[in-house]
Amino acid sequence: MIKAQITCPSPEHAVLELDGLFDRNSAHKVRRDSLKLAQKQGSRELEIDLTHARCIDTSCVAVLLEILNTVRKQGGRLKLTGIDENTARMISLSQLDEIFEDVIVAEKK
Amino acid sequence: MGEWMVKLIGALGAYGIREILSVGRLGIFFLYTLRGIFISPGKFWPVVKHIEFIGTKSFFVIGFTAAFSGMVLGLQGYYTLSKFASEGLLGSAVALTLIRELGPVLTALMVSGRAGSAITAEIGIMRIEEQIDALDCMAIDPYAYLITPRFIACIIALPMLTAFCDVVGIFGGYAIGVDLLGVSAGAFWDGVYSSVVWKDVYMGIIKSLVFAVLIIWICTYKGYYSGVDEGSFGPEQVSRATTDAVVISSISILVSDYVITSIML
Amino acid sequence: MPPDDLIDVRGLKSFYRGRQVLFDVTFGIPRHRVTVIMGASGCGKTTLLRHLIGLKRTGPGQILVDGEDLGAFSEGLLKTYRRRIGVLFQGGALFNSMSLRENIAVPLKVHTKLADETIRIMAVMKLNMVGLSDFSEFMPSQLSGGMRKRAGLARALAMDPEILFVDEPSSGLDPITAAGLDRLLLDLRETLGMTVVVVTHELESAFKIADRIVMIDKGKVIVLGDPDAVRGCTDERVQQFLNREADTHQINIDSYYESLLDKEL
Repeated sequence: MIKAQITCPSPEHAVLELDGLFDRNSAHKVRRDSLKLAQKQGSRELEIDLTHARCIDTSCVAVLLEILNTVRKQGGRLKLTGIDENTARMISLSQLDEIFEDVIVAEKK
Repeated sequence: MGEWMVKLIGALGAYGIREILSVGRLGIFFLYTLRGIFISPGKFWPVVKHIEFIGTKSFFVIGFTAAFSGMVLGLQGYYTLSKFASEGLLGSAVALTLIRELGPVLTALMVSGRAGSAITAEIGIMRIEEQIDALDCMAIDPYAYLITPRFIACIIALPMLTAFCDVVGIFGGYAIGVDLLGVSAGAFWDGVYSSVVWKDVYMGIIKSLVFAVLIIWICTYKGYYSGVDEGSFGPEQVSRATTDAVVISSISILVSDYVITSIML
Repeated sequence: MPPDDLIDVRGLKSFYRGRQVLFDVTFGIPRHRVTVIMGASGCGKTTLLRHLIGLKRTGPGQILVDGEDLGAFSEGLLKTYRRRIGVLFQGGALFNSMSLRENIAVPLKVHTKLADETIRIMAVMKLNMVGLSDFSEFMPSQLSGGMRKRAGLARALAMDPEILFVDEPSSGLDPITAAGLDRLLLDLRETLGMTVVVVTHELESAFKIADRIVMIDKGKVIVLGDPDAVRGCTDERVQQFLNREADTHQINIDSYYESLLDKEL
């Protein structure tokens, strides 16, 4: 299962830290938590930290895409940190590199 | 000559074994379908969809059949009853015939012809195109996914269609008897009210429930096993399964109608 | 058993309607690799595939999955196994009453709690992998055979299976699309570490994608190994197959004569 923790380093910036297995059994939970947070954040910045999360199937790519859609619609900014190689490869297999290009931030890993 | 006998006995034996096996399989099929109630996926929306197919879309054809049957009952009943100068009984004659016999039987026959055959063909095509195997391989129970929702839908839809058929038929008889042949409206309705008792309605409902189970059981079973015995999966097997399904379910409707009537009367 | 074999087939014999189809078939399917089962039409490769996905129960012989005997699996274990596999059937086996997107959503809807929107995105992503994202709202009947097949592959991928079984992936496809499909199978192996089992008679694609080739002729394994080993094999039948030579001698000449001449004479 997966744990989600929300921290707010600054009022303009919220971080959702995921810890655990991010697969099709836990994706709906991540989706619910992150969409709720994204709605609250509105046009401010939302960061999702995947350093401690392990994505093993394409449901996580789909959920990330959904979050990205929601955030963009509200004029906000999404940042994905700590994405592992496997997830990156799944994103490129789904031909979504361009969409995720300026969203993925590699700094944490 | 001796060789002939051996072949004949062999063929009879093979036939017997095949029939007994298929009866066993029919029973197991029913049990799996019942078990399907408790297995995912959810049944609500599929059942609604199939009620629409079996029920709503049969309204027109059943309404039509019922109206004309009621009218013919009105006509025949009037001429028979008028011989005994008891035209006033027309209402009760029409209503009782429809509610106890014609309503359930006609509805069941129409549903087996219209929806039952379509269901057999649909499931049969799924069988020959390996779609049922595909369900198995996706770890989806084919009974729970395909058969059980249709069972539930048919069991819900048929009694309602039967009630609809009864009502339309009685109005058909009324139209002929009262409007055309001049029986008094009061006498007609009084006949209906005074002669139809709860037991008649109850019998009609029991019949339509039994028919519903028979129709859907036979039609889904025939579709599910199209081509399995022959070991070849082509369009021919589906068309044979469809014909078989309609013939067998019509016969079982008529036979079981007699049996139920003789038990309940 | 070498430690990296995910599936191990041991002495598998198979019968169909009294005729023996497979004779002591023994081979291993390595984990995270592409295994190609190759052979002429009617050599028993589809039967073998049906054994591997648990649609045909193993008679004599065993199929070991992670060391466990598939033939002895209970229904529950078989379902667990099937949730790990994806299967593309020869005709695609798409459900006719649903659009491509809904087809792909079926296993996700039944087996996961994902939201409808997530499932929609995943379905379109899978369709994109096989080059059909523009056709997500089309019904299977509106597509060509090759497209249906690719859509079937997208559905087999819906649950991100650990093992992917593909029956004749490139039959009916133009060379460019077929090459694209080969590329996809290799990508899946690379990216998701999928174990891929391909049944085919197409030489070119087999040698392009295979890590291990199992060649079957008349129900027997005639060569087993990596592509180079197969190319270097001196067996007459193997070379005949590789060089696309027609059968020169009638093997069943006796039964041919027998069927022409009246046996009673």
